[in-house]
Amino acid sequence: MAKNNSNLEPNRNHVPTETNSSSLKGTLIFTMSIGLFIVLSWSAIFFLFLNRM
Amino acid sequence: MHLHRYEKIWLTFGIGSLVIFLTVLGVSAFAFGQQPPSHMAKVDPQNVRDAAPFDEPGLRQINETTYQANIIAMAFTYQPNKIEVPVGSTVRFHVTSSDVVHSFTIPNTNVNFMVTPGHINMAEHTFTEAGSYLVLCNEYCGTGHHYMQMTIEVVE
Repeated sequence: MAKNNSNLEPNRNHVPTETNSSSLKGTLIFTMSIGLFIVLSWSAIFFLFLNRM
Repeated sequence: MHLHRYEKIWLTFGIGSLVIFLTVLGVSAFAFGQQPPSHMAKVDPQNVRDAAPFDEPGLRQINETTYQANIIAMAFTYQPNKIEVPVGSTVRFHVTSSDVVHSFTIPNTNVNFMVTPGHINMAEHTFTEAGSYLVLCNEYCGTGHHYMQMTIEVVE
């Protein structure tokens, strides 16, 4: 019984890691898109402010 | 703690952006003196005309190129209603309201702030081009709100 359990453990650990790496790709794209939107809109307003000084 | 490679990327991006924004904010506030239009300078809103500098509304010359404009906003005009400065002048606007909330807005400049009763609201602008500049109220202040305006003549 103990032998069977120890054989199963590595498989359980291995499978979720692969799932995580593939699911984070979309998160990365959307995080970076929102980040770029924030940076670009902040910069646009900041340069408008500087031009009007 | 294990961090995924992507997590490291967006955490670096997020923290980096925060550092840049706060640095720009800090430098413009402490090195260049940028400040909010109303910063703790107060006046009694019941007796605006009895207190300096609003006992003498109008333009006061501070040095060769700098002027201070003391302006009272009220429904539905500004006092004085017209000021004239030479081109290249820097004008410090000190504005308060004797009744309700107004605003002091010069379109296409950074001068755009609320005028709140009891506070002395300030902004500074250097007029590098001659012409007639319109000043508007953009806070709804009553039935005559759309008539509320004054002009700044910048002459050669």
